[in-house]
Amino acid sequence: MAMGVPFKKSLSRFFVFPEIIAILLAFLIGALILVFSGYSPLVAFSALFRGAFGSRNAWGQTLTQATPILFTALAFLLTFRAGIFNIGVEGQFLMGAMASALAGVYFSGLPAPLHIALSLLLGGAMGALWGLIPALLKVYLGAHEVITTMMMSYIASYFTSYLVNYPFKAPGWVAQTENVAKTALLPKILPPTQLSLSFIIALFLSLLLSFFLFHTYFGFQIRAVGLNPGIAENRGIAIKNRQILAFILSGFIAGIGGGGEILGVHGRFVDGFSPGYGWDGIAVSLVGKLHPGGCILASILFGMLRAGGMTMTRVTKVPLDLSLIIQALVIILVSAPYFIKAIILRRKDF
Amino acid sequence: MKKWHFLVLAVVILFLLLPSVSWGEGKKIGLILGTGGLGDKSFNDISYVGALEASEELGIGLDYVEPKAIAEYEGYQRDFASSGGYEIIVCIGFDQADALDRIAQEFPQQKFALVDMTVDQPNVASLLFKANEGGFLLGIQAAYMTESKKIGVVGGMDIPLIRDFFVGFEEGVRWADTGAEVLPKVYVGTWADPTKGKELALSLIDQGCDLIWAVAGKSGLGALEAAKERGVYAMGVDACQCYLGDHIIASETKRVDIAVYETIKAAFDGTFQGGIMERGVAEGWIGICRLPEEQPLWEETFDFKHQVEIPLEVMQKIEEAKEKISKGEIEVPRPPEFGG
Repeated sequence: MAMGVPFKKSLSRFFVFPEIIAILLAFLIGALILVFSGYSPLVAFSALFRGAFGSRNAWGQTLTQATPILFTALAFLLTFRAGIFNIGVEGQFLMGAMASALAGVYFSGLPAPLHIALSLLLGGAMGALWGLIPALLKVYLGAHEVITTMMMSYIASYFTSYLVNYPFKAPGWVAQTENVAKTALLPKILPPTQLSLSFIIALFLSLLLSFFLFHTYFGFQIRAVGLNPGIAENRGIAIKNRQILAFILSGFIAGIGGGGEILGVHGRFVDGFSPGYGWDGIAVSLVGKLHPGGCILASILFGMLRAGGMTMTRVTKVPLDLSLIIQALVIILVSAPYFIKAIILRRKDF
Repeated sequence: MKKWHFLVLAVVILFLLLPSVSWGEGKKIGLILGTGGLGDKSFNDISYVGALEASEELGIGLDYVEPKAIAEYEGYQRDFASSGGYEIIVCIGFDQADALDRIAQEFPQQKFALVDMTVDQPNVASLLFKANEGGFLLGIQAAYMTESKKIGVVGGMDIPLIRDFFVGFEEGVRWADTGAEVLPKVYVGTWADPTKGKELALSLIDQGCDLIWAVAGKSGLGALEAAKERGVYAMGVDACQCYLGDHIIASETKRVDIAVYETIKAAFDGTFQGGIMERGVAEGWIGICRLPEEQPLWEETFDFKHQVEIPLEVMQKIEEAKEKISKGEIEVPRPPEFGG
């Protein structure tokens, strides 16, 4: 974050533009890869866009795919703003998902709104707890969060897998819990697609987080800790306290996201349901320029690549991996502002 | 406006590089593979062979996808079904059942087939295999080939689908009556962990087994490896896996290719019916690769010769059992979940 002032200024002129260039460039490189592998980029990309935005169903798919990564992106963003590189979002997401699933299955007799709220909040609380552990380890024992959060993710992944394979396994062949009660299911907002209220909650949380970070004193303190802990401390901000708070809130958001995925899409915890949403969230957060609004756009871009990728691979036999390659190219190019700027200004003297 | 030049250039290049491709007309075949994906030289590859054969014979396009996670099934199924371009959508693997149950109701006019599991909808053909019958034949061979009289089996998961193989196998060993026994069954718990499969197989060999049968997807490859390392016999499953090593003396064949092929043909003939299709040795859906009538599925097995000879009288026993199962004279037991 220690960029020189002139560069920052000139970059801000292109605040949106470099990202768009980066995305186009990523597609262009993707097209080249397609051509060299013997596929037609026109057919492949038209299938990709049709599958992502071409119909109600496609929109549903795209936004459904975008939802969990928007949650995890927000969770990552919050800690990153406090100067913490929390790569354990995946674990917080999974623990939240499991808590919500169990609350959905084993509480009964509640009216729907209450059951949903309770399940989601339990998911959030579980995620927060999972975020609190590395926070305490960091603040009181000096354990670096990159190590601890990553390890906590593995623990969460195997622990939830254990729970769903043994104690809470529904009878049958698949490692999954029982279906959650009907009263715990999030309403679908674009039937018959899988898109649920969870997406709206994610949007709402983006707004809330944006307000919190940029318009409250607490949010300011968190950003101050991230920007310059030394000065923040001099000004009397309790760094440890703020970092713990950031961790807890981050875990809470990720946990709600996990719960939303269970109550909104799957209706139960299925072993291995997350193909790495927590990790994708880190990339989305960075592509979204560490701003909640940017995260919304970036998550829809990633959702589009996933959803459209499905149609692309069905129609053209181009492997889904190509979507992932484009995704990776977007990440690389967006996080390489110098490169993009050099292209824009045709200058080589950076 | 120099920066726009680049944009324009990019778009122009994109369109210049487009080879023309024409879309096929008419309804096609849709295939949604299991999460193991192609290249498993087993379940998914076999299904693909069947669909490809139908596609080539009928001159009809085939579109397939390889989902990476259970969570993706529903999206793919809806994507296929809602496009309306598919006469039949074939779903491979029991774990697609939950999603298919929803999608089949959502698209009641769309024909579906599901391998290895039942979905009780009128537009879904559920293709089931009497794996116990093949296990029975393999059990006979195993009973004669073991010298230590101890046989080990490694399963992928402790589920009825896999127990079905083993129930038949144990019965086959008993039927052969050579004094051989099957040690308590072990399960890996996942289809994709060869290391753990190997560990489990080694522990069985340490208990005196000199023949290991692995029914565990990719995890099973580890068990086959363990047998090779210790110089004992092994057996494979799904398709002839014997080319993987001389120590692999036979494999149970589960001809998903035939099932998929027949179902696709029926869909295009107009003879497609929803409901349960359960077939076994008699119909050729189940067998073992040492039987002369088995055809190889891919190049590794085209010119393949088994290295270990099966004595003639053992072969005759197997043929006899097959005959009796086909005629219904031997009823091979099944796990309770399959009505056994």
